[in-house]
Formats: sequence, C-alpha cells, structure tokens
Amino acid sequence: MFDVLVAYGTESGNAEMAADDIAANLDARGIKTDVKSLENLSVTELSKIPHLVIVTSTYGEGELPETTAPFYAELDSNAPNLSGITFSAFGLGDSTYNNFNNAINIVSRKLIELGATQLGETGMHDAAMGKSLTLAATTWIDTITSNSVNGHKS
Amino acid sequence: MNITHDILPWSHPDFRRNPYPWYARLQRDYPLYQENEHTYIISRYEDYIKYVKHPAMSMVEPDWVKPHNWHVFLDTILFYDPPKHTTTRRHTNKWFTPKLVAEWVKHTISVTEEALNQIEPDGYIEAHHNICVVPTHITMCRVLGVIEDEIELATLNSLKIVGMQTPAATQADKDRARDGFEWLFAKCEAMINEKRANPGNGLLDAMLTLEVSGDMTYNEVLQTLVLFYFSGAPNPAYLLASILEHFAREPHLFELYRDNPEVRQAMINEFIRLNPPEQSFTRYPTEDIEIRGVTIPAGSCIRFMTAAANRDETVFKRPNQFDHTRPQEASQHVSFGVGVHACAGQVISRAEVQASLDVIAQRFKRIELAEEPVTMNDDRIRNYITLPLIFK
Repeated sequence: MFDVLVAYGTESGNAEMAADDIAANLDARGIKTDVKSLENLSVTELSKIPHLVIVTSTYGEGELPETTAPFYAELDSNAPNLSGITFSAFGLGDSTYNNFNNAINIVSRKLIELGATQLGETGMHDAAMGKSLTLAATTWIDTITSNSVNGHKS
Repeated sequence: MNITHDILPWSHPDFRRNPYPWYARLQRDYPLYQENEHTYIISRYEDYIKYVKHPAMSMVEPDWVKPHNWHVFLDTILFYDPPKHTTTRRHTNKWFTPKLVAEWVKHTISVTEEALNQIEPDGYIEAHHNICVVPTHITMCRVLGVIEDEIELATLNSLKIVGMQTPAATQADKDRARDGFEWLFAKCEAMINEKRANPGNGLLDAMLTLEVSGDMTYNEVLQTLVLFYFSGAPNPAYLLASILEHFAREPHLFELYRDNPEVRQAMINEFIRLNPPEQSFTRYPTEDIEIRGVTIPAGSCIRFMTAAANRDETVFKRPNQFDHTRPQEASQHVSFGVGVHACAGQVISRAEVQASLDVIAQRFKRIELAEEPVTMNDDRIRNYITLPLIFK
C-alpha cells in the first residue's frame, strides 16, 4: 500500500513527467507512492487514499486537458463526500495565455467544495518562463513535504 | 553582406542563402507589412506570440486560395481547427509523450552507433544521410511500426513536397510536389495493406484500430501516416546537421558540449533558435483583426515569420550570436511554433538531437569539414543534401 497517490491529467505527457518526478522525490524520502493517470482513477477510490497529489496541465484557453476532464466530470456528477481527504495540487500552465493554470484551480476548488482539505499552496509551473519543469515540481514537493513535517511536529 | 531594396525577395539566391539581414530590416521598418492584396507579414516576436495564439487564426484556407498539392493533407491536423483539431491530435499525441520518447530515442541511439561504425579509417563519413537522416527516419518507422526500406527515396520525395511551400513556388516546384506526393501515398498505402495482413503494435496499428471503431476515417489514417512518415527525418536531421556544421567550424563549441553535460540542453536550444528548419507559416483570420493600427480583413492570409522572431533583438540581445547562457526568459524561441498547432514532434526532435550528439561526443574529440556541405535552402524550408565530415 502506498502513502501518497500522485494522480495526473495531461494533454501531451508533461504532467505525467511532473507526476513521475514528484513521486521519485517522495520515494527518495521513504514515502511510498503510486502514480496513476486521472483517467484510471475512479472517484469512489478517493476515500481509501491516505494523501492525494493532483497534477494537471491546462489546455487551450483555460480548459481541462484530455485525461483531467472525465475525472472532473465524475466528481461533479457523483459529488462524493471527501471530508477527511487531504490533497496537494500542482499545475502546469503558460502565462502568455489567458486563464493561466486554470485547470488545477478548477479541480482544487471542486475537491475543497466536496470537503477535502488542501495541504500547502498550489504549485504552478509556467512554460513561458523557460524554467525546468522537473526543477519546479521537485522544489514544490520539497516545500510541501518539509512544511507538513514541521506541521506534525508543532 | 549586401541586401536589396526588395522587402522580401523570396526567390533571390542571396536571400535564400542568408535571409536574416532582410528579416532584421523587415522587423525594424515594416513591423506589419502588407505584401500583396491578401497577405500580411508578422515578424516581431511580441506580435508573433500574441497573434499565432489568437482564436480567430484559422488553418482553413478561404475560397480565394487556389487548390494546391498540399490539399492531400486536408483530413489531418494540418488543416483542422479546434475542436476537431484537438480530438484528432490526441490520437497521436499520446505516442510522443516525454516518457515514451525516452523509449523511442533508444532506436536513434542504436542506429547512430551502427552508422558511426561505418566511418572510414581516416574518419570520413557523409554525415547528413548516414548520421542525421537514417537514424531519425528509422526511429519514426519504428514508432509507426512500418517497413524501414527505401530511405533515399523517402528523403528525395519529401524534399520534392516541401519545395513547393515557398511563396515563390513555380509550376516546376508544384509538379515535383505532385510526383513526391504520389510516391509517398503509394508507399504508405502499401504499408496499410501490409499492416492489415500482419498487424503489430505501432502507431499505425493504433490508427487502424481507431478506423475500426469509427474514430478515424480511412483518409485520416492514410494522410496522417504520410504526414508522420515523411516528417520523421527532415527537420530533426536539419537541426542535427546544422549543429554538426557549427561544431566543425567552431571546434570550441564541440569541446564545450563534450566536456559539459550540464550545458547540453541549453546549447541545443540555442542552436535551434539560430537555425529553425521552417522559416515561416501562414494562418487565415476568420474575423477582422487590428494589428499595429492596421485592420486586417477576415479571410486574409497572415504569414508568421518564425525565423525573424527568433532573432528579434528586443528579446534576444545580439541575436545573431550563439549564446547558450541567455537568461531563461530570453531563450524561448519559436522554432517549433506556438499555440495549439505547435510542432507535435518537438519533444522527440529535441531528444533525438541530444541522443545523437551525446553518442558522437562520447566517441570523438574533434569534427572537421571534409568538404563544403551542400544545402537546398529556400525561403520557407532549409535542408542539407550532403555534409561530408571527418570524425577524429
């Protein structure tokens, strides 16, 4: 069994790469992870997941990418009770478009609306800045992990 | 360097050899240039980024555009607008994710290693065909799951079809393109027939499954196959050849690459900025659009000058110089285009180029020109014919 499920929604595979990077970073800390495409994740499984890291890109003018859209639609129509679930969120976007990183915000809002609690701030990668996606994803998960460890101590 | 009064002398030999001084003047003095009744030219980086992504920029040609040979791709992502473009592109996108590309380039590496084994005792090899074309072409064949033979003919016919994309295309260019398309379509139809008899697990098999489920038509499958089959090699091969020529002419750059793995990606990115294989492309706005105070009517043609934008000095300081240490926000060239129609092969092209250069850097200390390379550059697309090199 894993401690963290890293679930990604993608259009061209970059969110998948970020999800793999995040999982590798957690694994290196001894935190067991599983990585799954959102198209293979049913909302009924969510209640069994200790902690969810959700990663999604934004497609076109602020739309959900191919594999995020069906997951979101299922959340929306089933409206499961997610109280007791914790998640962290990382988005991939391009600030030269309107609605920068809209998809991760849409999905996070929906999870919170259904009762889930977000740990840490939403991480965002901006393709227009030319910075490495791997670096952005791993720096973000470093911050989330050290903050939540400190949180437990206090 | 000497230039002419003409703003864009498409077919002038000097312009085709080195268009950049003309581009610089175009950018400075004619930032929005109306070339003829229907056509407007955008060359500044800022405008390029903003307007390529504009939702009114359609791939669908208006009625005044006469039928032409590239209409053989009418049933592909080349001519579709969203949402149909999105649905169609997703069929092939998932075959070129960063994760899968890491698998595909293993083929590029093994074929490159075989090619390097054919280098003659004195270090000589014709590098364009053997090192740049063959490994990238075979990589695409293996993604598709199709036969890898007749690489010379595939290359020759691909050159014929891209040769008519220049705004100055002659009837001879168009006739050659027709012949090139005939060969490529016959080749690909035979591949489909062979696949139906002997299925496998390549991208072509996936498309034929989509045909059975009604998600792609036969024409979409055939045209998409031709599109991917012919474009596997030329552009990545051009990038690779242009970098090898740089390495031969400027040995310190090869040393820098060889000795510093951490700068390799940035160096490749900078070479791609300086040498985009495709110089420009066109769009057709579906509504009136005002750019720099000029109202461009719906149904006009707008040509976006990729190669000019890549050397816009307001973004790239001393734009004609190689500098892999440019700040990241000033290294975002547009060689692969931007927006929903951005090159579908961007990830694999970069990965192939790096994989190939890494193999070369591992084996050799020095690259020299054995003879002057032969190129076939027009004002739209750039190609090498031969690049004779000595590897030491």
